[in-house]
Amino acid sequence: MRRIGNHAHIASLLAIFALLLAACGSSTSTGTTTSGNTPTTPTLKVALVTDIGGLNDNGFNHLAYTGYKKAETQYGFKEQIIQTTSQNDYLKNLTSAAQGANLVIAVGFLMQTPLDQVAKLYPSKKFAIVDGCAVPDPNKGDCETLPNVAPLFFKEQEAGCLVGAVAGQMEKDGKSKIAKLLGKNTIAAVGGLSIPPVNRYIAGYKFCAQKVDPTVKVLVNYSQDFAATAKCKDVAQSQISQHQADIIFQVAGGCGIGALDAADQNKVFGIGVDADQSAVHTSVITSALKRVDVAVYTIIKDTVDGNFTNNPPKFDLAHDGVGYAPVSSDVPADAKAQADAFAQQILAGSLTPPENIP
Amino acid sequence: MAVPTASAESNLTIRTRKLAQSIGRPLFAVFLAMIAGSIVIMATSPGSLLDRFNQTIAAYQALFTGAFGNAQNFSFTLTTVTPLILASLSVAIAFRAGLFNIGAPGQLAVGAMTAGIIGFEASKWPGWILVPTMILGSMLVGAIWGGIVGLLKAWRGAHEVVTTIMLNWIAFYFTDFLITGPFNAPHQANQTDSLPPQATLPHIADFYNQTLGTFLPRIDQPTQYLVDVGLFFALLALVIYWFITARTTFGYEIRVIGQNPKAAKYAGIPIKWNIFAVMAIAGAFAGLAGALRLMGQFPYQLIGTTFSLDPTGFDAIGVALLGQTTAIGVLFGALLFGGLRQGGTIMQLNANVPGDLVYIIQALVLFSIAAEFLPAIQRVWSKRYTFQRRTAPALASVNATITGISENGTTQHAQRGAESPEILNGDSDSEGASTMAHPSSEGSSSQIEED
Repeated sequence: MRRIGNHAHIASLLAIFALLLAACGSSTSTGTTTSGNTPTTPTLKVALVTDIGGLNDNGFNHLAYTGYKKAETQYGFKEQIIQTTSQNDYLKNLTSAAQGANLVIAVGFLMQTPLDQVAKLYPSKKFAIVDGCAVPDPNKGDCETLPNVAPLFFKEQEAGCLVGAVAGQMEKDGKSKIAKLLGKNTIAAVGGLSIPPVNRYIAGYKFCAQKVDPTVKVLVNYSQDFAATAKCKDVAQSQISQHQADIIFQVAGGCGIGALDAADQNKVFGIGVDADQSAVHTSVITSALKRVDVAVYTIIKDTVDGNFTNNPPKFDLAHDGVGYAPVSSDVPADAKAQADAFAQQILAGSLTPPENIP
Repeated sequence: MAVPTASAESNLTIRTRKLAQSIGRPLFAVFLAMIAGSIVIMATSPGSLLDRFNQTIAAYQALFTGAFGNAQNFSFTLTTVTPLILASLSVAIAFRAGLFNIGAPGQLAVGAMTAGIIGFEASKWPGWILVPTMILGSMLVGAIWGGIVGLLKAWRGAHEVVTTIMLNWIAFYFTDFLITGPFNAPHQANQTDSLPPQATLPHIADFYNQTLGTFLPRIDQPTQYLVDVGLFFALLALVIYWFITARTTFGYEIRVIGQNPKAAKYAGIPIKWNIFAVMAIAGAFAGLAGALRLMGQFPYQLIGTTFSLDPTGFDAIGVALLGQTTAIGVLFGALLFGGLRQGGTIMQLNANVPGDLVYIIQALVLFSIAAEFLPAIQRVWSKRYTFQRRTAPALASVNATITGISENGTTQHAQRGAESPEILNGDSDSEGASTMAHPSSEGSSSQIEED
């Protein structure tokens, strides 16, 4: 350091500025495209508060942003986003958002308790929370109905049902038609914790798989974790090696990637959750979808139209709030047909998957 | 020729100049980073040059008002500043001894965990026993966690950068295990129960209303001002830090060790014990940071994976560097970094500039301090314009030499509080240790291995 001359110092300083200019200069052309919206409702201000992980987490934050962006281009409000970086900041970020916007959308159930506090402090502002509700006491976990908080829930059991139909039909086709199956007519689900949203997925999965093939055995185990991939991998591995399960439905968020890993390594099949997880492994035959983007877009649209309610309908197939991802090439045509048939029945009201595991 | 001039100058002028030199570099670093940040905003925002300029102004306005603009925002900033001050003191006191403490995040994690465990296990105790127990327990465990590094460094010669980083991960995963395992709340993922109410620290606004507010004007809606009384602990810690480093033999000894371990050894200073002690104190500061945030701020519970994602322990390194390891410097550095964090949120919300700009500014602040741009510019400047300011550079170096001699000659000199010699030297070439005493840490490790 000492040996570097003064001129080298100055030169390096200038170089940094030049580099900054050069690096940023190229991106200016793309930046201009967003301007020029004609705001239809200039008074509306919508703030999105993400959970930790950033906007590009390929999960809820990303989906929520997609829905937010769609509403933004349609209604032309100013983009107001807070990306939460630490779980200690939920309260601060929600408060800041409530001060700067009329509608605050919180992504993720971890914000339930801070949202409850902030919503009471700002009764004139509207709030929505994805996958949660206002919870005054985290140790009890009961929802509180506030006039200005819209909980955005989903009918996960319908998404679970559709992937369950695919799995059930594949088991019915059997080893003779699908060579990779282990032949014991057993499928499995790996849940994170035994909590309602997880159990709704699994309930639909089990119900519809057994509706297609009444003899199929459905294993349900919990990893007690949503983050540590190793735990889900262990659970899935024992389901495969001890019980010859050959289709593993993961309902454990990031942890569940481990379950998909185990399925892939044992050359059996996996089913993803929440978003299309076909990119994780080629052995992922489909995914149960939770359309957070649709929920976020809908609540903004309702607010613009003056239809904000603290009791919005649950997002289901009819609202395009759940669904299943495009199937892989391992899935026979009759399995996909079965899932589509069930989707039609659910829409027609003749099939109602249960909320609790049968 | 210059010496009589120097003696003729009044004491006050010399002090003023030295003060200007010691704060000039951090201020310049911040200024430089702000300019670079504005270039980034201007280059990435749409519209004409004027639009871009306005956007930049709007962004900085949002950044500033978001951090310090009103009482509520300032209270939000202070909630970030409290743990940042303590973690920075942890890094700073280790810097004094020439040790680079990357371990503040881990020490903070074990401190918070300890406070949490005591809070959950002794939830029946009254608050006036429970709160001090939690605070002291977290400091003790933090001190042990830091002390391990000191022991390994002093007796085995293991480099503290390596051991602190390793211990960070041990702390992160071990606390994760405890949070998701034995202390997991029923029917909740990755989090513990909340602390019992008597184990939490009151918000300053509530505290004021209950004490002084009974006869002075009360604060309306105290719940909206989030800062808690933990801030007072942090300020107290600043005073204690100043006292340790500037007014005790121990503070003098660690500074000598940091600057020249060989000289320290020949002067009969117990190097090993001092290294152990300084790391233990560093750990105690960081452990306290973790405990105070757990007890003072929502959600009053421990959440899995929080610690490895928490930027406080790493920001602390920047704050200690920016503050040049002085107590007052750490205070202002923490206010700046805490303000950037909080202001960044508001900037993101209201000016639509990504909060990541804050990281760019922070990084450039550190970069320009580490790269010593200001001294370099000053040297070039003074060479170009020697006919105008012929005596000034010579004076500066003479002053520096005088200060250097007196600092080394007396045992407890430490004039003007906690200024360390390398800061007093300002821009002169005689400063051996660059901004920090970092280079000498390598010297100290080799020294220890020899004996």
